[in-house]
Amino acid sequence: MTEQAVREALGRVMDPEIPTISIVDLGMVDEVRVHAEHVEVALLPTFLGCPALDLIEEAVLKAIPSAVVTFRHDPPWSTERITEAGKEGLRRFGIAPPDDVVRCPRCGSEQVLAENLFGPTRCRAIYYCRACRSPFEAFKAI
Amino acid sequence: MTDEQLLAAADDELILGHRDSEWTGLAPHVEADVALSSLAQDEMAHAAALYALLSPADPDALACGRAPGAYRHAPLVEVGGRDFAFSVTRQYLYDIFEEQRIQQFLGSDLPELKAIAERMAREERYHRMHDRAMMAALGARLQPAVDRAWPLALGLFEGTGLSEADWRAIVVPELASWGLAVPEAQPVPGRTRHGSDFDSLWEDLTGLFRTDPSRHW
Ligand SMILES: [Zn+2]
Repeated sequence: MTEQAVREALGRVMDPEIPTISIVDLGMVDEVRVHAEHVEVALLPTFLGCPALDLIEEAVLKAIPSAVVTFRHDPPWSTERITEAGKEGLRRFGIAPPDDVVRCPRCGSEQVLAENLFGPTRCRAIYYCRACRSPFEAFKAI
Repeated sequence: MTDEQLLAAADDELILGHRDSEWTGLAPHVEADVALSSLAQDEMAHAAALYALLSPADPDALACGRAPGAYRHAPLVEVGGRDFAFSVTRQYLYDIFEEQRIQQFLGSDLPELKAIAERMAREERYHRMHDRAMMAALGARLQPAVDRAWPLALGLFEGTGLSEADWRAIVVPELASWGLAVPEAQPVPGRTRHGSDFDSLWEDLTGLFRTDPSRHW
């Protein structure tokens, strides 16, 4: 397997909680090393103590059976690592990406109110769009 | 940065996280419920990362396998009971203290600790925004809670090498802006001896672990 092929396979491994964004577009893949018998994949956990890590490791092993997955905290992950394609994936799922200006993922309006800085998962906050009168979630800039 | 200081930080996070988690399903309104549950998850995750740094082979044993007297958290975080005003006030006073502590970690020579601290710093920004919004909304009604939490909060600094004066310079004017006065009080130390509130918390927190220490959590 080439490194390119490994990265392509990782690009099809979706976040278990947000199925429209891959772990590559989330910026979780820190390093890929191809060896004769196996492939080393070093991932950066998004949040400290993220409960989805076991599921992500399982999904990587399904996509690349010869993978050996490790998690490292250095360099620390941050939302700045999310790619443009990743942001589009978040919007498609109804989540505003972590930009400086939070826009409604449905209508694009900036007329939004932060309702709760905490939401259904540790990485999301709850907003309300005054333009289309819908609640939505925003990925925290972390 | 000594191991004892790191352990105190991990224990503060674990015990406060446990207390915050006790509001899940019981907070006065749903937003507070979601917030306290998230705060609990964040603080416990920070604790887990610090325990893993201190004891890579068996962080669970460090977190849950000690006798009550071996925990090094400050008395502020162990206080139990259903006093919502106290919980809000405690979280605010603690999170401003924690901001300083994270700065201390960021200045450490350990790359792994710096990386953890960088992650903590990004999450804690949201804690402080939330804390300040709650304090501002509840305002002067929190005075009894401030009176109760204040001497305990002063006890946070024991053995940490952090500056109480720097912390006061932030919290005293902010409290005043919300109509809250700071009482004259002596710090309540106690990172090495704990009160009766901790006995029942310890039973809860470590009970499952003690039934089968070989289990992985
Ligand atoms: Zn909208």
